[in-house]
Amino acid sequence: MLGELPASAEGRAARASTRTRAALARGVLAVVLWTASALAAVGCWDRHELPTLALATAVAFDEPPGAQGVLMTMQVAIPSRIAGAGGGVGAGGGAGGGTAPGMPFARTASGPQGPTTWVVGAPGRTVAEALERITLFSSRLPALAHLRVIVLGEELARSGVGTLLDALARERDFRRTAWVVVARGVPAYRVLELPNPLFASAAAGIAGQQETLAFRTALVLPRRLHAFMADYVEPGVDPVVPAVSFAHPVPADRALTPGGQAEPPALLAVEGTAVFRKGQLVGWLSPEETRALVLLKGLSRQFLLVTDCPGVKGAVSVNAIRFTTRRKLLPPRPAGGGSQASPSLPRFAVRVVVEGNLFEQTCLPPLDAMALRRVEERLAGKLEADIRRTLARLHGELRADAAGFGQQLYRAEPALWNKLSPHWRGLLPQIEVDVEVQVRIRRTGLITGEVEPRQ
Amino acid sequence: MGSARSPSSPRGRPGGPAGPRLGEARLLGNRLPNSQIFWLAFGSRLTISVALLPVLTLSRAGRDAWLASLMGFIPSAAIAWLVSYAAERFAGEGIAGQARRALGRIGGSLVVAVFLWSYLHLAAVLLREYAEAIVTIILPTTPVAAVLIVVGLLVAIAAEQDTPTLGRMASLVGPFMVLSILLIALLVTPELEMARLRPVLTSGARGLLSGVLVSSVWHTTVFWFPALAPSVLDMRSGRRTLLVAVASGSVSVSFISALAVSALTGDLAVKSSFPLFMVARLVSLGELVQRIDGVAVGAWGFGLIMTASLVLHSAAVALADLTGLPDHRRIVKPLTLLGVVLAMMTARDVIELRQFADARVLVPYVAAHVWLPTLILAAAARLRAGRTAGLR
Repeated sequence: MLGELPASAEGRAARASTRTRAALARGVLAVVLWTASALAAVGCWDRHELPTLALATAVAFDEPPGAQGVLMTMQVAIPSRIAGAGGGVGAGGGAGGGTAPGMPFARTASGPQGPTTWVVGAPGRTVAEALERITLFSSRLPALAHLRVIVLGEELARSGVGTLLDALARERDFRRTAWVVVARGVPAYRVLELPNPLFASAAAGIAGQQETLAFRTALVLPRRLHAFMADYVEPGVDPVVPAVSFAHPVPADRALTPGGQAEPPALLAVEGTAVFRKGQLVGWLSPEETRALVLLKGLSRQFLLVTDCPGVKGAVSVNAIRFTTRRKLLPPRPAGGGSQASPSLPRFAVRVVVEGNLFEQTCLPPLDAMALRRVEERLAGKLEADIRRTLARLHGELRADAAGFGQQLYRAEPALWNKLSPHWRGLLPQIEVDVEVQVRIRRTGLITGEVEPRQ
Repeated sequence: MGSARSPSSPRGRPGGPAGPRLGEARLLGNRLPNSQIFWLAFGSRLTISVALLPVLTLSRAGRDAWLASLMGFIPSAAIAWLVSYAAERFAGEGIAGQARRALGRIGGSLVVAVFLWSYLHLAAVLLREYAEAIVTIILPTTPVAAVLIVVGLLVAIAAEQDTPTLGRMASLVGPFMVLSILLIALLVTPELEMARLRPVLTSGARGLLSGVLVSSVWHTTVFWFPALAPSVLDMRSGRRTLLVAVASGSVSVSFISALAVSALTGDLAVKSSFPLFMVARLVSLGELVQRIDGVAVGAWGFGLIMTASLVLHSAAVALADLTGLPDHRRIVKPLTLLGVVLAMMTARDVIELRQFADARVLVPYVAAHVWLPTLILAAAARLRAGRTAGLR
């Protein structure tokens, strides 16, 4: 027994050593397997090094001249220049002219340290083909994941954007948070060339502008791609997006700039709203009509109202800080009720309550409490008239249901909607909408009276 | 109980502990407490919803998917009750033991074989769906096989563990998935329009029924319960927990369906390949809070590994139980390999995969492969138990 003890201990030690070696081998095998797996997963097929990518921040879609399909233009950021660039000013230098037939241009837009973006485009029968052709003369792979703005050309929009939306919805790189605008009166690709003094690129400028306008005014109705698509697919509502164009500033005074200054670049101006009838652009709304549409749709935002002083000289500005819109579907008016609307058609009631603060007044004598009530009535009357005029244009002239009365009918009375929907556009001018607007001026700012010189 | 060692306890103590042993087992942590049963059942249901939201995308319910999910609780609860019936009747038995005691040696073995196939097939479908999503969303040029192999390796490691280890994993992964969904819902609030849920019931009774059936089909994922029954700490309250998990699953699926429709619109939500992922892509709160879609993919990834490893683990335990193997761990790797190969062969492309997952194909398939064997097993268990009681 005593003699067996050391042998048994040796055996145990040997077995322990074998177990340790086996565990070590398993560990090494696991590390090798995991490393191989990790490399196989991401290292081989989908490797994208940042220096090999052309990061597109905006795209424009136009109708290609004399051809079918789409002319796709991308604004590509030049990362080394765009970082820290305080604003790209001035017309671009760089490469001008096309490099091949059918390729309209390749331009650069300048910043203080040189060009910050490269604008490049090519036509194709489909978006994918245009993108592939762009790749042919771009030294980097186009990457659309950082897209912030989509500009639609007017001609393309009039022809219809339905086929375009398929690519925008299907391709994983297109993000539905990009802003959509229509270039009015100018080719969409020109909008991408426009430098912006406050941003490093046109895309950043347009995106920044849309984000600001979305909350600060009702004269514009900024829409992201997803909102546009939602209105496109939903029954009983037509999509709208802002229209952008160029405004030319006054040239510099040569007496003040003796060295001479280049012609100032054009400014990007938002000019009302493009109205689509499902996929096709059918007309434009003015800024005031856009504000009426915003009130009809009940989209929350601030805006400014200006009107003449009641009975005296001067003007009053009221900053509308919030509003609520209540829309009701009313039962059809009984036959013989004196209405022009067909008795079988639904009626709608829209009640808007606007709450605002006195921003400025130049009335002489200054407004008192009674006069403020009259200002409220005047503003309400103006908004009511704006809304009625906008509805008449939308329903009568454009035959577009941008306010979504059909959608409201569909949600509340789907059976009735199914009956009316085939003829809805024809029925739109006959749809009766009762509009009532109330304006309430809640505060008069930091002063109550007027600022006047002491006698 | 069959001759396979209990998956939860290396010492193989048969049956659920009772009386003072209950507290001891709870302290030892070698059995599934109710909380872990809940997270296993609820988490596996949530994984499918985070990924595909089949009740919305693969049924005819359309925008009424939220209602169909809620109504689907009743048949789903019935399925969960039936699935766990034999396990309670023959407490302490593995699935082979339950089936053989209820249906005899041959009949029982046949039922277990059908269950085994369903475990394997479900694991394969889950793996393939995840691989397709990764290839569609993140790695478009990576071969599906590469993703399957990597995920398969992870799943195999998890499935090799003991059942309570999986339970503990579920109690970590489940809350993470819930928090991810709530985070997405919170951040996408500005894009939500609840009116998009109206009109209700436009899909008609047939559409709603289709949604209820699809919802019930995916609730069938709790059919792992009989295989892991010997690991359950307290069978009676475990069954109740299973029902609570199914109810929570119904409410969660309803919530996610409503979220997807009110964010994406009914039409775009129904046509989305991965609805919750699309909802997450809408998040844009200024420049700072954007691109949180990775949260959805991450939640799904963790959930998938948990669910696929749970189902593969169940397959291994059931096979060990059926064949009398002493340890399920020896067959996990071959089963995973089989699952990965099956995942590659289960559909030629994503279109074929969707065709299989469509209500018209999947409902009869699951009815034949899971509901019917479950019903037979439960009915036989009821009869056998009644006869035993009569003899007494």
